[in-house]
Amino acid sequence: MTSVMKRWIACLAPWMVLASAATAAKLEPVSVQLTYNTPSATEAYRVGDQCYITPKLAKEWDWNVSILGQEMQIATEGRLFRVPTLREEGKFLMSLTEAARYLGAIAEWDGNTYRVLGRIRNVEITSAGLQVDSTIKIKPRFFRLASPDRYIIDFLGGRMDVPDDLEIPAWWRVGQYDPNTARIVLEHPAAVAIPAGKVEQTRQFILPLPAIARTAPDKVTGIITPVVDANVKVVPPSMTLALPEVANDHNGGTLLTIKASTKLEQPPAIQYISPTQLQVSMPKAAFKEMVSQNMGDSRWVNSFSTSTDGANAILTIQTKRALAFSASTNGNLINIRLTVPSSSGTLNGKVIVIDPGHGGKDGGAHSNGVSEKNLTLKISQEVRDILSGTGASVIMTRDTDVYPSLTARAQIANDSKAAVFVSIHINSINKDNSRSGGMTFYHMQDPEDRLLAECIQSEIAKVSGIPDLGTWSDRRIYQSGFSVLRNSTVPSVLIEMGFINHKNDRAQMTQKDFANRVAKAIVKGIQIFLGEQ
Amino acid sequence: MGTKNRNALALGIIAIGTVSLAGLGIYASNSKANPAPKTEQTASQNKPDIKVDVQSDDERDQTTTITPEFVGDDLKFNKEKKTPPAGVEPMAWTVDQYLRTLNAVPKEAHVLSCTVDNSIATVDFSKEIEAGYGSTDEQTLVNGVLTVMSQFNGVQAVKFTVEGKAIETFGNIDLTEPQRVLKMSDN
Repeated sequence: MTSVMKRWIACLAPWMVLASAATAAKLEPVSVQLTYNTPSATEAYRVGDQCYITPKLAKEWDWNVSILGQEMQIATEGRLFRVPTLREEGKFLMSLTEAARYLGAIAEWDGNTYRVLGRIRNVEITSAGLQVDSTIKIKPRFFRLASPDRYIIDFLGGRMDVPDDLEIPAWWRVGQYDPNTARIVLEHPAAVAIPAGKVEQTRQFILPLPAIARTAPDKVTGIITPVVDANVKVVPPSMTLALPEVANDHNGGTLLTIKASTKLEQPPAIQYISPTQLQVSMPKAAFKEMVSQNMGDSRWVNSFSTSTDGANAILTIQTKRALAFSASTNGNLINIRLTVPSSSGTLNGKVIVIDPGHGGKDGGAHSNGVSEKNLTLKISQEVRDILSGTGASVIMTRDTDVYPSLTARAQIANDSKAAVFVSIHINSINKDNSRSGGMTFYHMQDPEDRLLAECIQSEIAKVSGIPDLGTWSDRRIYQSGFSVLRNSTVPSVLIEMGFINHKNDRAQMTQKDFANRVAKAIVKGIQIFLGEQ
Repeated sequence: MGTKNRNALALGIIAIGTVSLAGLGIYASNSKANPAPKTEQTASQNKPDIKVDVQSDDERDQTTTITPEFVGDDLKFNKEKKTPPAGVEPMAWTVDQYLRTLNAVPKEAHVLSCTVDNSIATVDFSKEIEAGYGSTDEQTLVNGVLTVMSQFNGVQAVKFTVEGKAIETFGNIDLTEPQRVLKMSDN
């Protein structure tokens, strides 16, 4: 018997070692930047999709940290919270990803750098002047430019998604200057009269304004020259680009063209910064002029600005409503087509199909007694109720614990000629607590699906309390894509709210008000897609 | 008892022990030998098909087993060469090895058979595989099987079936058609 047991142990030992290796965390040294602080190339590590730092680095940021059992208690930014710790490879680490989540900060990977930014959640003119609120401290930087007079305020370490309901004078411009800097530009002759404000880092920035600065100038014209970050390495461009021109402008959209000095090998990369702000990036190129200007009489484009990140020419386009995009090249001409979605207008009278993922025999993802099919049904029913209040005609692919086939779900959307089809899901991953976040999928490279995903995901991220993993093409995870998206012929997306086997995501998703919060966000996202907001 | 008789007895015990351990090894590997279609099975065919393979480990072909790992957003696979136990079908065994690395797949789930026809491999799973998956778990399951199967000569695509029947999905992904294998080198 002893011999057989030894044989079993000998047989199982390699598997036990493998299993142990698979579950052990793997530390990958990375660089980390907290808002305006200089990036640290030490004391930070990547574990899966999370970033862990040493308590030493946290103290350098003036965070008050103390060990409490298996967790680290942190006092910073006026908040007190606890985050998980990790002992690995002789190091004692704490989760920066979780800390960022508690702080309401934006946390993102940029290659091997982990960046934590303040989310600028409010920009308004009050009786006290201009007020800007951020979730964590950002660092203001001021400078003036002449011809015409402009006053520029950069917020280092800030990320600004321009609010839809922003109420500031039309001659103010707000937006994201580069990934680490939000910018406000006052293009006004009275700008020179504005006193320099405080430059200390802050979560609430207030700049007193002279009365004249609230009065419209006779004419707003001129060029705003972006300031090139001194830290960015400049690579000589291999081609120069003219400023974009409107080649075609009609009810269905706008065609922008950009002339390049040489023939282009591939179209530019385009991504959404927000549903109404696009960033176009062309490698090894530079614009002839660095400008920020209105787009004249275009029906759909408000303004654009040109800049560089040192290696790429960057064009930022501000549109008047959420638009789908596509890009192509023809010789030395870049075509950027901005298109109004086929479904537009108000929700009233429109057919919206909501698909609660899984159901019946298929429970979907599950963890700690929580089942995906139940969560998705609850959220979907909230969406239905809110949509019904707007006058939309809502069709649910299921309203009880039953399992319609995936092709049947898509067929419901197709047969009803739905304006929008939204499939709601909860994610899961092989290793518990290894990944946290929500994302919205679109099919392949479908422009309208991608826009709808952007509109909905950007709204969900504001309220879910779950890290924002952005929008993804379903091709990125699987060659044939999601069945419901592949078989749908109407604008459609599949939302993954969060990971059911991550304790923080699960804690959010099982809160009483979670379904209502995200349902409102989904409806608002649909309205932005339709152009109603 | 003479020396000759004692030697004969010892040899007999060793022989019985060897056969027993071979059978135990096959049992422990949880592999399904003889992947015949379910509809053609008889009562006698359902008995364990235990064979003593005369080939040594070195003589039998090795297969590459994989373990999933997420590097950032990307699903990658750690690879390891292993020799399937004697008497088991290598494709089914290698896919089964992969299933055992997936926490979302029930321990009872296994491959019933792997057959190749006209460059399309049909991997037939037991019913326990239909356990309910989130998208990332389903991606890990499906893409892992497609990666495992890419190592076998002539296999260009994989059709997923459960107990002999075609399936629509494991939860999210469209599996109504055979899926192209994924190269080991790409993952």
